[in-house]
Amino acid sequence: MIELVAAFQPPLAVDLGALTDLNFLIGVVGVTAGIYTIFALGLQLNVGYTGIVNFGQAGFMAVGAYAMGILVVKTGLSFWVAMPLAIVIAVAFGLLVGLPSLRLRADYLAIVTIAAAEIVRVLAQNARDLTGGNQGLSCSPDFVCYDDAWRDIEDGALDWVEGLGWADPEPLFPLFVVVWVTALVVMALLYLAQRTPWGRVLRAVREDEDAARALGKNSFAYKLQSLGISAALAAIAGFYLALNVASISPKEFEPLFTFIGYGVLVLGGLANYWGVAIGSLIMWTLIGGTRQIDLPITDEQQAALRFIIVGVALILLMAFRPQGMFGKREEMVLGD
Amino acid sequence: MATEAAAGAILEVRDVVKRFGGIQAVDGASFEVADGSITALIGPNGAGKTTLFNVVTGFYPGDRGSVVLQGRQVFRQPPHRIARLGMVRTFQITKALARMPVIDNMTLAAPDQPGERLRNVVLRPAATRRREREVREGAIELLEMFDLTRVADAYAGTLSGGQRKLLELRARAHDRAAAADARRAHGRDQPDPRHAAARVHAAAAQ
Repeated sequence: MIELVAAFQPPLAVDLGALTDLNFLIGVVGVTAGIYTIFALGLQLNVGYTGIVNFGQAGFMAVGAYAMGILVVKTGLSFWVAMPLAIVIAVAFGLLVGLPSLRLRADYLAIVTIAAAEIVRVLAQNARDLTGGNQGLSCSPDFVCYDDAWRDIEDGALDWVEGLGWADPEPLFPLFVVVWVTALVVMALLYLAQRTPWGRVLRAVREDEDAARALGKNSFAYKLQSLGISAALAAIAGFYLALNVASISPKEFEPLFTFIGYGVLVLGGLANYWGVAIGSLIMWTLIGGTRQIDLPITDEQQAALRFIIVGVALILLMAFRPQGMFGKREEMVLGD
Repeated sequence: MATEAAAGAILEVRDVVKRFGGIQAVDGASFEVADGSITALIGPNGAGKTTLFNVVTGFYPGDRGSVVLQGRQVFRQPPHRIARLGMVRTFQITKALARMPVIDNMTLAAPDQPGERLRNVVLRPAATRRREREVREGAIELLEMFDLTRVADAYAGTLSGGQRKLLELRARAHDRAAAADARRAHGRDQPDPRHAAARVHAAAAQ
């Protein structure tokens, strides 16, 4: 009886201290939200600005991450050469998926892209010689790891900030900086591109492909470009994901990753690049923050409860701001 | 013989056939459109008028036949290529680009904007900007002419049905020649209303 009372003592003990903790802010929210921002910026270009329902973004990310990892670990290529090559491979894969499927109606395109992503993931699970299967890919037998080059930079950066007087710096701080600098640069570039005549044609394709064609625009070519750029961004997000987890494994690239990316889009608002960053930060504060809840329940119950809380929070946000944080309400109403 | 007859024709359609499975939608249609004329295609529901339009403008690949636009064979060409050769069309259901401002609907229709290629945005920014200024000026002039200046920055989707149809016509009448004709029709230079009217009506012919 006493035990029972004791067990119910803390009704809802969220350790607020943890929320201001640097490890939480930089490691859990910062790095992850930054990676999702880069990932979802590609989705924003596709969904918000071109009208392509791309459900295969996690697959493009997998192709980028695995291509980089395999090139470094299996062929001994430098990390710096492997990255641009991996981007090229991911874009080529994006175009390969897009060429036959971008002619389809939006809902069929969604099915084809999610199937392509699953093919990549299942292939990675089973092509063990190349990818390490479910064990993941990190180092070769003679200990050449894909993140060697990055670890050197990271150590140097940590020493440097320690020298500046930050005793015991957060280990993920260098990655945090690089990820967010990348995210901001990509955001700025996309924002500028959207304001050009090229961006105007993209939006016309989103509104009505046939009308764009009747005006002399090659709608298909624009959709292909949009998907290619998005695949490149997914690959970059994949590199950072690989550096964050220290081993590239198939479970990182489940369709859930794409769906949370869509959650980020809806939260931030469609057709707005800055909203992607805000949506991603909100999403990961919610997902990361609910992990800090300390209740007398089993881990399984807590895992379920976390997503209930995240779901309720998202419903509330949508109820009070259906166009997302930065979306334009007019655009939502006018959409068909 | 066809080329002889086509001397005064800007569009020449010969023996166009289009089948959907077992349905013969268009069975050997031929007609010509003379320069500066208003030509109507009439027929009962289901006669194949829209199908013929779609074959002529490239939206459907025809099975057989020939479509010559200003002396060039465009049969079975993709729609955007035919459009660039000067084919202007509207749709039965108005296709204004709802979630774009009216001014963007106008500027979008202008041909020869190098900045519509991503490569040129980076490599030829000056040419892009220069063309963009021209295009914008032309668009604003056209909007003024048709009393749409007030709504230039509004979403096209907020316009009334009639305004939207106007916008669709204007957007598609927006090439330099047409704009010049329209200006003349408006009474600034030598008035020649037939010219502008013909272009606009040809666009509306469907």
